[in-house]
Amino acid sequence: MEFPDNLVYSKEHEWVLAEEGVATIGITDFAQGELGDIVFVELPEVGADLGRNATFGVAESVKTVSDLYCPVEGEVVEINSSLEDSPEQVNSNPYDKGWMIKVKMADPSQLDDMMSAEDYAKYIKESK
Amino acid sequence: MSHARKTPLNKQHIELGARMVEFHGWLMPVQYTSIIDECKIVRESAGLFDISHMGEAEVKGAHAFELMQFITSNDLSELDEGGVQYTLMLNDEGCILDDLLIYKISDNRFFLCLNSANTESDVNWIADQALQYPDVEVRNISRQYGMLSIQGPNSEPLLKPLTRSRLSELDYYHFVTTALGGHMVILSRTGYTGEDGFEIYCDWRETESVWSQLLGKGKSFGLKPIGLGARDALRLEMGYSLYGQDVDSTITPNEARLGWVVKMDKQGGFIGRDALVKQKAEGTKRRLVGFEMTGRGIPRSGYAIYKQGNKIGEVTSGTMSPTIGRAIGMGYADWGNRTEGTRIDIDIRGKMVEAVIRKLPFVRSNVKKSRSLDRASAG
Amino acid sequence: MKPHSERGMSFTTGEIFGEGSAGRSGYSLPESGIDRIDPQSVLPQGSIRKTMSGFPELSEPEVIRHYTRMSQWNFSVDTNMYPLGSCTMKHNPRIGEAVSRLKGLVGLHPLQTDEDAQGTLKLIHDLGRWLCEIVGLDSVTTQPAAGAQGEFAGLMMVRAALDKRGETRSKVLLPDSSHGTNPASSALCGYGVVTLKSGADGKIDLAELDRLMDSQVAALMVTNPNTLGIFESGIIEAAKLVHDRGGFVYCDGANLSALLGKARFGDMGVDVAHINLHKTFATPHGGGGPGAGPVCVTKELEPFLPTPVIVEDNGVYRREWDRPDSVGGFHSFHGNVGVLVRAAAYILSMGPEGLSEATEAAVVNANYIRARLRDHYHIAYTPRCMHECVFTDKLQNKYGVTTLDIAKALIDRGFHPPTIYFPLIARGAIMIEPTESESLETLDDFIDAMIDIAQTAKTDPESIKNAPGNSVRGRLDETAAARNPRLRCGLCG
Repeated sequence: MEFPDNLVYSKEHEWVLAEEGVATIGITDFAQGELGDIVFVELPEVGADLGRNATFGVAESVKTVSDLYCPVEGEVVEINSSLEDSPEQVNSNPYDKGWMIKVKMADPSQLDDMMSAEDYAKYIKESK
Repeated sequence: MSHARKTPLNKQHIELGARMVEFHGWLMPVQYTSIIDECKIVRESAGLFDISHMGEAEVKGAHAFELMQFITSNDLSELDEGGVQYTLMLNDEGCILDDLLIYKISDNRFFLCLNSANTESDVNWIADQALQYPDVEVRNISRQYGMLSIQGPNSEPLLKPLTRSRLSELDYYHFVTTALGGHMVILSRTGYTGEDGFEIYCDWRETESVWSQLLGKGKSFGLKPIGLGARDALRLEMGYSLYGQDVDSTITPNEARLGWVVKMDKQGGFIGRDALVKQKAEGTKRRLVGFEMTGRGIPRSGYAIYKQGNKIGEVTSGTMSPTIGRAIGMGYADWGNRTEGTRIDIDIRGKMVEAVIRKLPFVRSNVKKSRSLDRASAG
Repeated sequence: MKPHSERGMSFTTGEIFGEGSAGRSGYSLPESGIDRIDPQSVLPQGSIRKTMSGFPELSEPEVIRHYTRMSQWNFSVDTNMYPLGSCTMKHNPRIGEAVSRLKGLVGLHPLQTDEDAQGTLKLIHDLGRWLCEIVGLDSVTTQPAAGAQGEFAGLMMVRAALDKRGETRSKVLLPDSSHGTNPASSALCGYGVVTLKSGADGKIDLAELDRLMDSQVAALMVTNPNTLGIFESGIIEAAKLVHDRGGFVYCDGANLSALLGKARFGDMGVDVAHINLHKTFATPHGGGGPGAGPVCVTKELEPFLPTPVIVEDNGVYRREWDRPDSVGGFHSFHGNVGVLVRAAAYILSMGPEGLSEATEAAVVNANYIRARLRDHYHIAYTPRCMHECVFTDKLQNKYGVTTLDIAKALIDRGFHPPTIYFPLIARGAIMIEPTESESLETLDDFIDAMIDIAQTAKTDPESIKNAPGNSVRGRLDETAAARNPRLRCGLCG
């Protein structure tokens, strides 16, 4: 399992890449593995306002539905619409082609509460 | 982990990297690699399922036939020795206590395959009814039997080298007792996937040996272990109900599209018949329907079904069909909404998503065609 | 020195008492460290042997050679066809030998706890279930060490069931075609024997049975197919008649090879039957050594089974000893377990379909012999046969040749003689059972030998009467042996 160092991670298994006040959000390699084959991803509309830890959509595998949580408060500025036809990119490429939404952060300091790659790896190990 | 019971293959599943989940008190493999891949393997080559959680019971004695005929809805007099019958046990209200397979060993001996979660209550129910009959013995033999299912087009060629039984002569819904890889097993041409295949009842302690021989011999036939996740998707593609999800003890056979295993006119009647007569006279209010999503979304159990803004029912099973690549589901809708092509909406997390009623099954059945026509209904 | 080889590789050996040399021995043991005790000091005078002259003293290779040479004079199913009717000399599959030698099975002690012995208990229990399934009965004991002991055990259970009912019955009905062990077992159980004359077709005469079946008859003992190789088609009516008058039906399972997967004793109305594992289930006969004659019974007779009985409870096996109505024990524990393992291996390697095919092959083989020999030997009874066929020496008698001569002449032609002078109701009977093991080529060789004997009987009867000439010992003088028996070796005085 891979957890890139340049990302930060939430307890609900989302990752965030912060660049110039915009957070790109997806789910981690661990989360996609747990879900299994992802067959459907539902994402918010561009322009939607998301509170901290609000659900922003769902990822569904053949068997299960999982809510997606937004770890930072802000406005949705872009969604990965290629997931509509190719949700399997979340499985094959969770940190790159499998990204989900971009949020213009209201308070970038909220990132400070998130975990580093090292801490997240430890967190998974403990919760297993 | 929990106190969940383990099948005889627990160790093998873990070694194979299966994701284990608790299912009705049993620790079962839900998937080994990917549900989508596993479905494909079953439809294209062959898959091996551990379904040792299923319950088995034996009913024997001079009046075993009369007892089973009276407590099940299908007509047991149509079943020959060596035949298997899909049937229902109903309560006095005509509702389904369980769906089961009856294997006829002889007129006074039957082997039953029961849903795992119902096994104990089923056996108690049968034993209670048996009090009315002299000389009938009912035994829960679930702990003696492991159960494997091998499903897919390669099932027959794969099993062939392991048994002397002439598999090409074994019809759909028929069984033999045979030696398979040096183990005495009951082998039936049955399954829950819509593919040709076999279900194998073997001694609990010998299940591991049968399993590993099958996986070994099956390698060149593309045989892979398949989890319950794929099993659930495969059965839904065929429109097969899952007890506890699509049917339960509040639902009658007419509602559940299972009228074909209810023989109202069979001699001596059966438990639940009066209630079914009454329901027919008063009109059945709801019916299990199949549908396909035309809008974006996957139906799930519990979602409401709407038609032109009015709620008409509820989804009981739904999935993204790995075989046809579209989202499908089943659920109960008010009577009169079963016509192919009827527009409906599914309430998915507060959003109305378009769907359309479809005829079942969603995927064409590939089970072995029987040589005798009278068994054609056993689908 | 005596010659040890008469004809090249065919070796001979004398009595072991004439071999070896004084002071030679086949062992060398270290001192035990325990002081020697003079027998004179501890035993009464009369118990001490004064002389030991003539007791053989041999080296290990001498002993081995003596017995190996003798074994080479013998005939076995491993050397050629062994068509001994009713004894069912099948090939002993080597897989049975392999599995019966598995460490875990061999190393187990019968006094180990049930917990330690689960595998073996399960194996015996499974085998018992399969046997019950095969013969259509409900319960089983694997204890008896052979068919005859099985008969004894079965009749004891009948007796116990009658006792429990408060009835005393005094006799057993036996067809005149029955095996000799049947009257012996009946007598051992304290029953008188009444012979049931067979009908002209060689089967049970139902009118005769009706006449003889009275309230004193404990059981009818039948063999099906009977020893003439004929299926007793009236068995269901016969069983009903016996049951209606309070008796039991015992079936001698010696000829079960004809029925596997085709017909079941239980369905015929049989209450108790023994099965010869060393016949039908291809375990070695073992020269009177360990055999197995499990007995299967109906529910009604189950309480009387010998102890211990293996009981399965939710996948756990235990030996049940406390069974108040049991007739007791016939053998320690579960009988000859090594034989049971071989039988289980045979059943599992054949499978139900394979067992059926074995029966089909056995029946076809017997009918093939019957058809090819019908012009050369008189056939005892006319119906088509099951797994064995019975000829007589009627056609050969006019040349002074008898069944015994034919049997001896077969030895010269490389075959073991068939069963002869049995069944008793066929005068000069020659009962041939080829079993499923034999190939068409072997059957043809055997038939050709039989035809050659029939031809030679016409042209040169003396050569048949003097046979065998090719065996290590020629024709034995059975009359002299009977009149002047020498039953002890010279050493014993």
